[in-house]
Amino acid sequence: MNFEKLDPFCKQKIEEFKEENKDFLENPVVKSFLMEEKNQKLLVEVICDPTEENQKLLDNEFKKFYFDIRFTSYISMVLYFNAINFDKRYRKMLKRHPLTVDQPIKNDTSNTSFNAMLVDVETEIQVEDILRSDNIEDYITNPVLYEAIQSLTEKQKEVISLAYVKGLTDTEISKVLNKSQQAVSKIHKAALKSICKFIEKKGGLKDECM
Amino acid sequence: MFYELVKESKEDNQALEQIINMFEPKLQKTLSLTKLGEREDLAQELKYRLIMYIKRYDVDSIPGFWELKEQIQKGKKIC
Repeated sequence: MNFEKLDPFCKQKIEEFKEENKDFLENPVVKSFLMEEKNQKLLVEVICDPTEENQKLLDNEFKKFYFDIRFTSYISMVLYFNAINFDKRYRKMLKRHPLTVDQPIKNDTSNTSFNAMLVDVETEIQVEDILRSDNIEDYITNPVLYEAIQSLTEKQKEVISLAYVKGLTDTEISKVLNKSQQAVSKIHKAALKSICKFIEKKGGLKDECM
Repeated sequence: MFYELVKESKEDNQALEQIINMFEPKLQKTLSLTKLGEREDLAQELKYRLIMYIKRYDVDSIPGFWELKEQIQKGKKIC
């Protein structure tokens, strides 16, 4: 510190203060506070002229200085730890609700993944369905009806088979044959009509076909 | 610089905003602690927390020059 201009009485007091408060002046916060010349002057003034006003002035200045340090470090810590906690929470959530379907559901113990548990109703396989004949001609016992069906085109037979052997709707048939539902509907209708006409011709029905 | 601002921020939202803006660089740096996709969420969360913590901060808990002097001298005696 530079005390050259001060009177000897004041100098002596400062030395006394220094001696008395060695630990306090060694404190890092106090030290850096007194690094600033403005603050040094304030302290010197208080020591030489210890009025309440001067004391308050120094006190306020120091409070501001100390507050900056404390507040900044406090907020920095808040940011840091909150960020870490946020990340932890995020990871936990990710573990509990994985976004990928092919990862094990539980930790390590079982290897079943979520996609192994998925069921596609459309692809369900039943043995009966495989063994059963798809062709409607195999099910007909009435000779007239059998002939009627045989007179249909291949496309019509296919649709009729799917509709009455497997019991599919027109929409489902359209998916199987890769056609539009309207087209299937048309074929279906035409097939029924031609069967009806065939039976009518054989004398089984009279003017009942549309 | 913070002393007055924090005091004001208890009522004045503009002061609060100013403080948060001052910590923006630190906040940006903290974002690197999480995944890239989560950073926007984290930034929002942190700002929300900051508001809470700043509003709750006790400005008067700070010791003055003489208080600190006494504290340090007392601590010395205890030791």
